[in-house]
Amino acid sequence: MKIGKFKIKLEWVFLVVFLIVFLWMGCANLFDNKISHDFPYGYLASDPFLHANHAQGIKELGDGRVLPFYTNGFEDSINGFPPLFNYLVADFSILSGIEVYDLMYLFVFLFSALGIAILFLTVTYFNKNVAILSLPIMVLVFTKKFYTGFTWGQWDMYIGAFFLMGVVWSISRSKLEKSWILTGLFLTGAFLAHVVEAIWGIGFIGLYFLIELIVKRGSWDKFKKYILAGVVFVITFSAYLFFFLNSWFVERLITIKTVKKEYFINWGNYSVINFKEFGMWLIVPILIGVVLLFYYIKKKDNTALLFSGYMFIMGFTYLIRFDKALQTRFLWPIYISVLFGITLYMIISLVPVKSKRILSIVVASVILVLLFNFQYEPLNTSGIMHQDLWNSLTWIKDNTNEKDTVLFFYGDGYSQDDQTKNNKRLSYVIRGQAIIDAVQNRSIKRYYLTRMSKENPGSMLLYKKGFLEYGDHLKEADPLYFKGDMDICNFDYYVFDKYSRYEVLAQYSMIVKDLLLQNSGFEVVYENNFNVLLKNNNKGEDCIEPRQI
Amino acid sequence: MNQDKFKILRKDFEKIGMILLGVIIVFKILFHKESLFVILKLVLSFTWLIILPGFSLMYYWKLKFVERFLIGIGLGTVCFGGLSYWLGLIGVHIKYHIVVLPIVLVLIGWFVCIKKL
Repeated sequence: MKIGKFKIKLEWVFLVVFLIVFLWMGCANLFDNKISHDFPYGYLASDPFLHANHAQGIKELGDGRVLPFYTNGFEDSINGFPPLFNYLVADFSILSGIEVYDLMYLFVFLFSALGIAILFLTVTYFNKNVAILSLPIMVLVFTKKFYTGFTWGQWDMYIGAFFLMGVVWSISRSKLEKSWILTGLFLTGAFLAHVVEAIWGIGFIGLYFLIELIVKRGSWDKFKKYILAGVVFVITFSAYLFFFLNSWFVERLITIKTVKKEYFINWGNYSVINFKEFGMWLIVPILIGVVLLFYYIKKKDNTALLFSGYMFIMGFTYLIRFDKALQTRFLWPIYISVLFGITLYMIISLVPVKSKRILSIVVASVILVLLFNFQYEPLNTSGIMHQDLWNSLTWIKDNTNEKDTVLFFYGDGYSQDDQTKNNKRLSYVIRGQAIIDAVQNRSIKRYYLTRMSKENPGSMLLYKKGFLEYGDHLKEADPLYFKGDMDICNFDYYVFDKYSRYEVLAQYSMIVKDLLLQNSGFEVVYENNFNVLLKNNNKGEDCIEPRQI
Repeated sequence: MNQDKFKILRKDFEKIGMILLGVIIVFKILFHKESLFVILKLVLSFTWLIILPGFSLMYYWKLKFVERFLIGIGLGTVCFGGLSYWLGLIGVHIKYHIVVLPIVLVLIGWFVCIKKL
């Protein structure tokens, strides 16, 4: 379309409008229309804190070779978390001055939007109207269970998905000179952000090659390109490979071998996202899209459509015990959107109108409005962190010694214990059930079941023993160092919550606090509306007499 | 660099400037409670660390502007983030990454640009 001397491409105008709506629905509402906040805002679980803590650790130490001491009590434990996103955010935070916890959350949404733009670009090679019609269904990532991927912290996956879109684009443009460089680098990006997306990418390359070879009667020449992409990939991610093989890979093998089927039905803390989350009025066109995929399998530039079908199938690989398939379903609304788009396009192509482009935009807009009205519920919450708790954690960070230990008594949110790490001190949390049991028994104890709020990659805490040789602190250290019945007299600082959803638990905490204060070694060092912080000046000495209340 | 190459570059960077202006306006609407200063810091940091390196490197391939821009963001992210990781592993403090890496990547991009355009 031409307006004056400007040539307007309607599909791109629609994409821009869509992405604005996407960001508004996803993060502008959630962030209370602000980028920078006084504390981690909108974090609804432990994992978002975990990710932000990793990037913050890199920012504090200047590099990510080891984890900060306060994360687990060792100076040498290797930071083996997928590094790319953490480094990126740490770098950005230093340059921009914006806090890590704000940048990281924002980037998850921004890179999701950019991933959508790259997928859109890839679909336009196939058909611009299909690209337009694929967009509206993507906002489902901000509805129901799908949204928890963002708010509960599956963040690395979204960055991995961004690079996966890059892999798909590079394959669709494999006729470009040395396109394998891009394929290899995007695979590396996916691997260093979230390994699962690199696995999806490699699988898709294999499938695409087979389809090219068998269905489209392509040549083996392309195989050379994919090998070269593999060489670029292996060289550029190799620094992370050895650590990965010794940690995450081992853990994944154990999961695949040992985890029972029930685990997949209620995956971790998540309820599994079922296909029916889409609702019947979307399921039918998506399934028709699967059929149409076979109809278009020989068509030129159908990479994005094949990818859409591939990711739909991959969402079911939990049936062969690949549990990460269930995580991938958080992004199904984006991945399988092209299956939806192609079906709508087939219907629209039956309508006798002059401009299919405008009709596609109208139909996509109507669907977007319908989804917005009937499926979307704006989420605006500060999350599990709040100003008083943040002030308490900050006080500890600013006023205690680096190696002081902190014990958290009962708090409603402390089961999500990664938030406690914001005090930058080695922290332990008494298990909620231990306090509940003590309340029920009306007993004050000296030993409670307690757990370190530790962060370890791949259920291990590796450290370097020698060249390519690792030890594991989790296996070698006394298990009681991490978890067990711990002596509450053995900490430097204590955090007590004054309030709880369960009043009796807060009352119990206050009784323990008062009993500790009867001991001359204890003093209140900080207090606000929500917390009381005590200091133990006689660490390790008798501090409380077990009794009935 | 001859006049034609310079014209292409100027045109491309005018477009990038327009996009960034649009992004700043959109962000100011979406995050209307945020100060313009924070939004500017965010957008300019993104431009320095990712857009400029990625876009420059993409001159290796003959592509439309929109392809170069979008895929350049992906390339810039993986190059900057990946190299930052490698430098971190050999103990280079990240405060140097944010200066050195974009300059090196843009220079490589310019070299490519001179050769390929």
